[in-house]
Amino acid sequence: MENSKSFLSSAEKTLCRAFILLGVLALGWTFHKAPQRAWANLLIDNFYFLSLSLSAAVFISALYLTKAGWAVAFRRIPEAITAYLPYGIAIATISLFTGIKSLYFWTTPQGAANPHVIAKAIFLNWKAFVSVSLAAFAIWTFFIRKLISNSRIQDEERDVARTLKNRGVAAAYVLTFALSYSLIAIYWIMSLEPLWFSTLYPWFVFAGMFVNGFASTILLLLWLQKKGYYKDIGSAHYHDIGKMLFAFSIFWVYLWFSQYMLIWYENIPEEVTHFTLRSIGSWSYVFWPNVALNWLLPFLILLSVAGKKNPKTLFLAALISFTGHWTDLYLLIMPPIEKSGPVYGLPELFIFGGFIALFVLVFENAFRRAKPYPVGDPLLKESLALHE
Amino acid sequence: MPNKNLVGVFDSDEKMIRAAQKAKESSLPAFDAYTPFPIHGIDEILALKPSFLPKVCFVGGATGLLTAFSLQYWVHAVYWPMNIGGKSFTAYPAMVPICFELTVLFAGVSTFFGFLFSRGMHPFKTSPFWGLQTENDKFALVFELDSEEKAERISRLLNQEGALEIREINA
Repeated sequence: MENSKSFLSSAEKTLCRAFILLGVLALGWTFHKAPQRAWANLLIDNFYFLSLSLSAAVFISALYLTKAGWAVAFRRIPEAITAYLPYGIAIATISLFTGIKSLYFWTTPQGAANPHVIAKAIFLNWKAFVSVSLAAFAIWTFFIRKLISNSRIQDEERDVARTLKNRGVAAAYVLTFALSYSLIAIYWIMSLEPLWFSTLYPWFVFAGMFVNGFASTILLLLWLQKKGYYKDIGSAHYHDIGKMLFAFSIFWVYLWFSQYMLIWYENIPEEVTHFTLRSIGSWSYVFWPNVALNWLLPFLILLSVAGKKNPKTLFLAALISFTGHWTDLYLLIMPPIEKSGPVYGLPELFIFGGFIALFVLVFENAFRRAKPYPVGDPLLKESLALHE
Repeated sequence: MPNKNLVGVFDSDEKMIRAAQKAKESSLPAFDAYTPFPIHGIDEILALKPSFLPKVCFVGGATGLLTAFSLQYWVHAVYWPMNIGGKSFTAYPAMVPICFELTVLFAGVSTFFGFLFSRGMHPFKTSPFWGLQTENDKFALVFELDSEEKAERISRLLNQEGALEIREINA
């Protein structure tokens, strides 16, 4: 039984393509009017969805490593999310390697002459930036392809050997991912402010993106159920994945606060610049709501058992997290480029919309190519029988 | 807690769950279960009422939060104002870690004692259901006894479901 039927109607596919076109037009217009803003938008949106695909793979790996059964029934959703990886890599290669001079202060002659940048030159240079990025791309592609192909081959073989193999792959992936993603977070985002540093930063970026992996899995799961898939996934599964969203949104704010409070307390000029730029002046209108979006609202919605089990409230919390983490990334990337205050308008909206449409099409294409359930996985039965 | 109980001891969780299910179907619902590990879904089969512990936990946590905040506010702003790094006397971010810790501490401790209270336990009391090996590898299902006729039917059901031992325990 090949699941070749698409869950998108042709009208919906056309709508997606129209949104991609609108996004491209908005991007072109922004390049014409304000190239820096266009590069920053590309970085925000592509990093957002690239991280989504990597987080989905971390989630799959966590399932293998902990021998967890509860999410195996809908594991094909995170598996299909990882299909964005090659697109993300392609867009990142084009946008970062050509836009590097417009985005990063340390690449300009004036920036390179700064004594603080000179002190970091062994790390902050064009060659290191490109080679670390390429190495990370290679690591991610290798391990994620292995994870996914083992899972799909298992559908035919129905042999536990592939699960055991994937446990090894998952262990290797999470270890190499932790290192490579940290470096990528530092190079791509933290080096937008090359004079500032925080050792907690890569961890913080990852926490936000990992929450987003759960949020998008929930959104796609509920959407697919509307379309007639996964009829046997119910409140017990909602409860468990709701717990993950709940727990990791708290983890995000834990890291957010740890970083904020230490820097606020010490008040050292070279450290505090990151927060003075964001929490004082007009950026503060984004800075404080960001905490509410990513932590307070999901926390209050998901606090009770009923909030996690009800698909409506779960959907709401996931949607808030999904938009919240875009805001979070926007707040990490945009302020050093637009120092005077937040710029938000049609370009941001339409470029993000285009990326969502692209992501949905890529997801649909990958989801269609595999069976909706990993029928060869020995834990599938346990997952379907899940109850409170 | 009623005085007389009938206890069936099983050597696997599956047998115990099936027995509880059968008992529920023949309207002889089990009163409680003692198991070495938490069993998902057993609360529905036993038709246990939701416990009041979440409320205890919330009140405990709120008390902890209030205690931590008022203590710090009183010390830093009222009783002994001290200039620390030029910050305001009521610098709220600095208070968050202590508020968090005391919330967790009070919530945890009050839930622990609330649990003991809800089970009617205290350190000098031994549970009447102690000694059934349920902390090791056995699973016990407890039934309330109010008539001899009922005792008969329950023992028959437990025997059918493969109980290793049926014991009457007076609590």
